[in-house]
Amino acid sequence: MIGFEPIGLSDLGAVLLVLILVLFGLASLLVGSLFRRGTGMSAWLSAVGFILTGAVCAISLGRGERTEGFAGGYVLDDLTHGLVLPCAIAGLLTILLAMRYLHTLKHGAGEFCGLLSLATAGMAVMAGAQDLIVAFFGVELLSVPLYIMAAYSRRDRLSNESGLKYLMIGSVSSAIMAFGIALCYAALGTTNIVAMAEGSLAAGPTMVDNAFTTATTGVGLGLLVVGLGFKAALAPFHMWAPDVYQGAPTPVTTFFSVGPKVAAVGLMYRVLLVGFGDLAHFWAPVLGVIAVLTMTVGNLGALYQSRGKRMLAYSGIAHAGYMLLAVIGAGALRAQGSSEWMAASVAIVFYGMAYAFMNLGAFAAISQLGEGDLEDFSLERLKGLGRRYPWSAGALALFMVSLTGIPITAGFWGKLTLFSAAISGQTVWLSVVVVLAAINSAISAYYYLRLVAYSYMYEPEDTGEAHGWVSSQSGGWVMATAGLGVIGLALFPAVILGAAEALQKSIMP
Amino acid sequence: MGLEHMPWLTITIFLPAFGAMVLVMLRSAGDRTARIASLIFTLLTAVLSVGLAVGFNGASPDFQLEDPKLQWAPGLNVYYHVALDGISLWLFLLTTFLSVIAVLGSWTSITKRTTTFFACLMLLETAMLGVFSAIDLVLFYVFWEAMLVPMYLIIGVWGGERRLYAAIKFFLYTLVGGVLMLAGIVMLYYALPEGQRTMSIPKLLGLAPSIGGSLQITLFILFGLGFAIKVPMFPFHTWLPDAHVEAPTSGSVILAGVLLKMGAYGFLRLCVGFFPVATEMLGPVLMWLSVIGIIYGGAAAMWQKDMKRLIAYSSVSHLGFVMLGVFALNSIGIQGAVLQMVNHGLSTGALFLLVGMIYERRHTRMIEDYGGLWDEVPVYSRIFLVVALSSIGLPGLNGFVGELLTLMGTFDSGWIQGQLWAILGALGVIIAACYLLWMYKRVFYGEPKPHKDGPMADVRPIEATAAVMLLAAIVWLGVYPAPVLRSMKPAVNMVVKRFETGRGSDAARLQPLTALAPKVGTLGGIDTPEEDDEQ
Repeated sequence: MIGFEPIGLSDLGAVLLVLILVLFGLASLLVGSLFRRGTGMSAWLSAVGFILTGAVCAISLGRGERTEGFAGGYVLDDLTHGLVLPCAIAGLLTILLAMRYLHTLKHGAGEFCGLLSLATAGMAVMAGAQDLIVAFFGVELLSVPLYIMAAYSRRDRLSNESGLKYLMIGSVSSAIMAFGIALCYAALGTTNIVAMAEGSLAAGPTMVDNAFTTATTGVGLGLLVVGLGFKAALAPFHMWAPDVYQGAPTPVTTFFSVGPKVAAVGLMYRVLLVGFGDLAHFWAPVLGVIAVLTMTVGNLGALYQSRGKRMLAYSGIAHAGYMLLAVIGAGALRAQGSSEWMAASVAIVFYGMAYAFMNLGAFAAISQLGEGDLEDFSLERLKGLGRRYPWSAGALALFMVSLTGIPITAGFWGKLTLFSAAISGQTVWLSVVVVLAAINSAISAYYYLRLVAYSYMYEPEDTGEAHGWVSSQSGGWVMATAGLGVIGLALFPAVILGAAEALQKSIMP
Repeated sequence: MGLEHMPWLTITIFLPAFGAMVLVMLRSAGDRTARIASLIFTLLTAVLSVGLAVGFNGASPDFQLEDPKLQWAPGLNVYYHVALDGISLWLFLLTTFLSVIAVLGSWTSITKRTTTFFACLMLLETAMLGVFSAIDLVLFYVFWEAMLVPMYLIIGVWGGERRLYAAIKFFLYTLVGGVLMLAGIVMLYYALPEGQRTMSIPKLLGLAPSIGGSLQITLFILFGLGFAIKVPMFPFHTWLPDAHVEAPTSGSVILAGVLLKMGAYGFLRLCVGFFPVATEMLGPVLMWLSVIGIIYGGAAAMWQKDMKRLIAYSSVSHLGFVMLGVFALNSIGIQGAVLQMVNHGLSTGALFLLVGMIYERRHTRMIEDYGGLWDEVPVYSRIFLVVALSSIGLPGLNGFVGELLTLMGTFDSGWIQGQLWAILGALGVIIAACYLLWMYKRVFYGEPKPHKDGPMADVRPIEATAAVMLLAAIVWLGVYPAPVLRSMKPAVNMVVKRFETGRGSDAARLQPLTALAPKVGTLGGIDTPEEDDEQ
């Protein structure tokens, strides 16, 4: 529980990232709503906030510093930095990508960027949450702006449906989470995950003390995982995702598919391992099943999609499943009593970075096809892209190869570090999970490569205009940045992997 | 930095990739520039590789010509680390040689998106050279998978009618094998005791054999599936005929000439090297599959109507000999296998090139559409005859030596069924004579089939250049294979010795194995005189 001490300067230092994002977000929100032509201004404000946040993360990552604030409720350690960095990048690139869409809006364009910043602030809260209440607060701060953004095109039926669906599912999952947290509190007398692990407040019960605390905590934990599973769209809690993704405006979908997933998996990692490590032998296999289910459902679902956003929505589901591998591997190590579990954190951070770049890039490339930014589009429109837009086609191919996990791309190292994090647990079932994940990534090649095939191996059908290719400059910038990120991380993975030691050191107090 | 301290091996590997970048920059300069530039780059690479071979000490079994290693991904101990030994050297040379041939072979046949085509071809060359020279397991994997995309594009963009199907089939088959191998690599890494975990192939050759039996078998299967698909061994071969038939000529040359060798190379270097206990248990299975592959591939080739499909099935059959040699697990067999890999690359590469020539003229590969070419295109017919005979294994040409050695090795191997396999394998030689000579008879003898375009033109100078280069290599290896065999022998003997030591089941074998692990020479590694007295 958060104590009642007055807030000091060190508390503010701990939430530095959140502060930056919230301040710039609010400023952007104000500017956007006060001035009629404030869209550009508010976009700039948000972008500066993202750049500042990203810079702080990038500089601090690898230092191994750890600043706790709010009586241990929030921590700014390397994992926080590593998780916020991809989210900030995603936010920044989303703004760039959204510029075209914002110009088509009659009203509300200014608030868009502010909401984006606030949602990212929610991710930053989730990334550093050491208290279940703080985590819940982060999840809500993330969700509420996203509810609004999903329904941003007010006159569009699908967008409204998307927003409403997301709101309903999101509220239910929040309620489930809150109930889970309450149960944990009832059993252990604290919501601080570090205290929970140590046995709360020196004298309280631990989760393995007696059958009552174990059972109650177990049920609470289960509900917590279900709630987070909804947020991260893990199977079997993924059903909402394709519809919401498809209906939301493309820039929003782009953001959806990266930030919340990274933040939710990161939060899961911290909460489960730091807080519920004693129950790892119970939750790790369950998560293993969820992970395999998630990637299989995602990949099989994506296999038969003919529409771009829907396909990437399913592919996003699969990627959340891959990311879980790190949590599972760490859990298995924790269940064996090994302290090596912290090594897996670098895999989540690396994959988060790689995934942010490659998925945003893919969306940027594909959204060039839409006539507007609303409707989903048929992938067949990609036919002949290689001839007309060689750079876009090349970038698209790069992102697809990276999403498949083939070298020489960031996605390959991401896959390798995840596999390695999972196998480091060294049990037979983990090996089976990894083999299944490997087969899944081979399945995914089929639908990712179809896009490459469309753009290179088919001739363009009749005229280009009829296909509605829109080549926007900001989209080009996003692709270029993402492409550089994908190749840069492929050639110099040590940029992130080198921070592994620091990450391990700073997770536990 | 003195000339001898330059990282020559790295330069050779990445020169084609650099060439590909140059080509992309020159894309507005026209097709002719692209052709000439890529010829220059592949020739230069070939010259450099010959230079490397000259500096290679054939009497040593160790990895040589090593470049300074660079840390790539910390945490998993991944390094950029390349070197060659007596086995990989010859496959390295084969690759640079066939790449030149591939450029010549696509000189006139590739007319659309020429620059991109040659760029893909050269990226592919870098990846192939990397596979043969990487001595870090992850680096090996990186190059292994990096081949997929250029080859996928080569088949899918410049291929025949069913190119999309063939390209995705090729990609998925190979990728499934690849990702399983990746899982295997990571499992192998964590199977080692903490503190000894490494991705370095030379170190793993000493450490991996001590892994427990059941885990070793699992790892063997995870690695082996990827290699078996690539070879391709009997039940996994179905992607090959499609890929070959649809690929453009030079794509087929590279596919048959180099890509298929990687599977056998992987078996030899990684499966046999790392998992001797599993090799001993699963060896008979692989031998049976190879024998089935030899006979089935040959029998299937016999009934093909499409020349490219026929050659593709003949590859299945020929690669069976290679696998027989590898899993004979004695010095003669493995030497024969490596030589047969080179031979098959030359002969089958030449066959695909030759079929490509007449396809370019008549736009059909069906045997029934041809007849009486003997008089129509005399030079072409005679070249074809020599190449076909070399593929059959006529004494005096290259195929004979390789097949003989692999069969001798099999006959003499420690396996109980060794003699049976050798006899069944020898049947494959006869079958090869049947399908190739029968095809030759139908295409080159008999009634000429007049064509609306009139008689065909005989070989053009550029085609003749490629053909003569191949013929020279074919005859040289047939008449005087000694230098090749001599320089690979120490490395091959080492493989056998390590296997013999490693297959025993007592834990004490770990010590001698670490001692037997190949040494990696000093930096620069041109000369390692202290290792000379080994053999």
